[in-house]
Amino acid sequence: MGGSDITAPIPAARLRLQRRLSRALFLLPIIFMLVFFALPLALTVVWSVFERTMFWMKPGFTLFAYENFFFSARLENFLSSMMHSSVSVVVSFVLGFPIAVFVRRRIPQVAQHRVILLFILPFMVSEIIRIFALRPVLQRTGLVNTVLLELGVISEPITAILYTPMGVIIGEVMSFLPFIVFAGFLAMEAVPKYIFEICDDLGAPRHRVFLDVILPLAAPGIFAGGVFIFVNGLGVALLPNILGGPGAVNAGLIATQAISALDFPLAMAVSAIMMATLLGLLYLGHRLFDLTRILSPIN
Amino acid sequence: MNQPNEIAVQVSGLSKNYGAVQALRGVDLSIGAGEYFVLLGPSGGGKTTLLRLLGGFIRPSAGQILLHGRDVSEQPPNRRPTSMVFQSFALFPHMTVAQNVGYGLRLRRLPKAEIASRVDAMLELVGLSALAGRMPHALSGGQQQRVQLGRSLVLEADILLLDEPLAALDAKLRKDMCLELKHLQEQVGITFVHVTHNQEEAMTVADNMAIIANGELVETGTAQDLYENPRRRFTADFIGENNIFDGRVSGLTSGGVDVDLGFAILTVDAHGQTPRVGDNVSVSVRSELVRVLGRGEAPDALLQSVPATYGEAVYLGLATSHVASLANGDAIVARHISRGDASDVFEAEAQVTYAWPRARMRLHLS
Amino acid sequence: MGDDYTRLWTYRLKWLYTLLVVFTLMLPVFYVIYISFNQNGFGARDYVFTLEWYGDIFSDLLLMNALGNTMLLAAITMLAAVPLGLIAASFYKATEAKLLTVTLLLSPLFVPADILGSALLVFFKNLNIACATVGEWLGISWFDTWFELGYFSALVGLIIYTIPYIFVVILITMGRYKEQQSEAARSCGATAWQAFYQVEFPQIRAGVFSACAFTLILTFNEYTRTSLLKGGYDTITSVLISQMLNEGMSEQSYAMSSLISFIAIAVIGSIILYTLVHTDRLDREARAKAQPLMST
Repeated sequence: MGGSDITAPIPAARLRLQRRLSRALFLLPIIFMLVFFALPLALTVVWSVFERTMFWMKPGFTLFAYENFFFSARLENFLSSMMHSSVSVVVSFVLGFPIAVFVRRRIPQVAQHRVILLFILPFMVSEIIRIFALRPVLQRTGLVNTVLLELGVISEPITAILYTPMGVIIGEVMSFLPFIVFAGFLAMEAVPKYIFEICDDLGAPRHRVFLDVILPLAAPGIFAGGVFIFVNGLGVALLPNILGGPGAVNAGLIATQAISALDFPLAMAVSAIMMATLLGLLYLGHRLFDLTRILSPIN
Repeated sequence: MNQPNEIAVQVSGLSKNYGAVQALRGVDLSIGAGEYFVLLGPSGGGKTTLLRLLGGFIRPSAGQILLHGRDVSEQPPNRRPTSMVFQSFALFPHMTVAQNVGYGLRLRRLPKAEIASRVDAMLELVGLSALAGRMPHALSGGQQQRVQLGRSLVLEADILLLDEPLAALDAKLRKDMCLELKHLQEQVGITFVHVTHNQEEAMTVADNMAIIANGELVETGTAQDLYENPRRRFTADFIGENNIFDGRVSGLTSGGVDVDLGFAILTVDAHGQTPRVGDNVSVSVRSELVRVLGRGEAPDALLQSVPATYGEAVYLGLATSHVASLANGDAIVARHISRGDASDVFEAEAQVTYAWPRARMRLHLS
Repeated sequence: MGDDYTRLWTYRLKWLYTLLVVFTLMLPVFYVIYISFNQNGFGARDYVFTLEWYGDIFSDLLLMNALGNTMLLAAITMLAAVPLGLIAASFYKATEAKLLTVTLLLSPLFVPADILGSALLVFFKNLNIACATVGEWLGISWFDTWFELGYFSALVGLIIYTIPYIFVVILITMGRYKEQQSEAARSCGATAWQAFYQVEFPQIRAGVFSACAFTLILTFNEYTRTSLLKGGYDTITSVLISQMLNEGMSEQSYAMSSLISFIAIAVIGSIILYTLVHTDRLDREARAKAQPLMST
């Protein structure tokens, strides 16, 4: 054979070393995620029972942070932010999911991804700008009121939007709607196109097709999208901070306010409660629909 | 190029486990240099696992692989004297046909001119000279497989591994390519190890073959050996169309081994095997050797006969299969060359006699 | 499908609705951009076009400094996170423990920014204390500052934030890649690295590039995690937020918001345009090459 001999055997010791190195390389992302993601989140439970000191915290066991959360206005705020989040999930679903169904059913296969790509556009603009930009739109002298006044739909500017729960919900829907489109789009992969033909063939009415076929098949994806919106509605502090009124405080805001106030155990307790909520929801969803089904498109 | 009687592949005690699943169990096998060797077996039987172990794509759980006397068990694919042709999708889609074929030479840092001339010669050999500039997606399935062959052969590796190379082609093309492969191997003279589940393909190309099933090496031999004189019951069941009778050894005589089927006793030549009385054994005979005797036709001494209840005839073109059931309920099949007249018609449920030459029966101890 | 084309109007209405939703989601940003060019600012009756507010930003040293920091952070994050995501996707394809891998890599999507930021903040502070304590005990001080809040901690937060997106984007492009090609390359004599670089990478390049673009944009725009973990220096979003919170929506913050949006939209827009043109060209070539085949 001509050329340099690239098929000569490799010494056993070097082979072993190569194997070890490549295994280590492959495990790198996993180890990174375990150390800097899973571990810190798991440790929030430990830190949440530490004792608060003037500027930091010290090891110990106290449920003071939880007391501070559950027996104060915080719990009430947390629960009402859950309410607002749930409303956002429903509104997003009603507005966004039909788009996913439409794209899957009626748009040619090759163009589907491009239509979905349109919904990535808003994410190209910073979250803070998108949220802040709602202020000039919804304000008393803002875009919505100006247009409605000009058109003569209203005679007085609507002032009950910004700095109310309504403002927070609008913000959440505007921020997270694309996610229900993405999740729905992925979920609809579980609904093969021929099923619609069968349903047409059987003469099933539209609402029955939706309730009996689409919903059960796409349920895991829809649920994942819903949980995403719900949890972010609870956790993104900017939304109530910028759009909400005085009472609009969600878990994320409690946590960051606690950090600013140097009450670290409280921040950790809020994180732990959020994680528990998330895991509980995911567990529930998994029991109900087997969430691993969502992953089939990438397998 | 190869010494006569040189061993190209020597495998001993080779096993591969995937968790609790044993894909391959203690296989011993040797393949002579310059042979066209076929690994034949049912899907999921472990033949592809064996081939991939030879190629170095998976590591053995136990055992050793010697290629031309060199232990390569731990070596990666690029450090073995092998080259592999895959079932499909293995061409590099971003390279032209010529670039695909020349890829291995480029890795060896050969001079550009030499690469070009060797690629040209190889494309000529596999009949693709006209398509050198095409991209793989613009080729038919057969052409793609030729490119793969060229890409492997151009490296002049000692051993070419072929993993179901024709499985993705349609039946007609497969037949043509089969013969072509055989001729190509004779031309280049290197060892081919070819995996297939298709008997006809195996028979066409193989100098020697091995039957692999359930993770074990069942039997090796030439195509004719395995067809005419299979040792193992599995081989008889897998290759050709055999009638297999399970029974128990009831006596050993100078004439052979008496096997009691319950409704008849067959006397079979032991073919050098040493069964003991009481052993569970089986006897097989190929269906094309079996004849349905007409009414009044008496079996002679050279024929072994059994009574049967006629079932139906299945017309297959060249041959017609006559299916009947034996006293124990098992089916027996006789394949006659189709005559196309009434001389070969039997009535359903008729009592008939099936007979075959005694000397053609085979005894299987396992 | 013919069903809906016969009812063309419903089909058109559904398209209209889809585009309207996208437009509505973008509307506030467009409105901010519109205001940013108005001499008279927000709410004024008369619209006078001006670039004045933009001039103000470029003369703002603090902001230019923050822009530099942000760009640097985005570049480092991209260089660290994309290879990690690439390795993770390769690992996912090879491993038996798929569910565990995918759960670990995608779950950051479900952890809100403030929660992850807070947890990492306390984590790093603790690591820092641990290092200082151990250092004091050993009598050495050279790793005292390893885990202080700064570029490194912000980088970690941003990698965690971006890795699910990178992972998914790369995995989807990898899904179309056939593993036999790598094996074929190996059997031609390529090392594992050569097989990856010469055969697999050219085919997943589009995915890797989009992942890079995503990472840049996400990092550039990110506020919460970065601001919690960045330590002392400024990023462009933190400057913007402090300006908005301190002075309300001033003309300058409209201009700044617009500018940031322009940068992001320009980057992603050119990438989308490039991929669209590129895939169209590939499609055309493929069709042209496939044509003669029809006869054989």
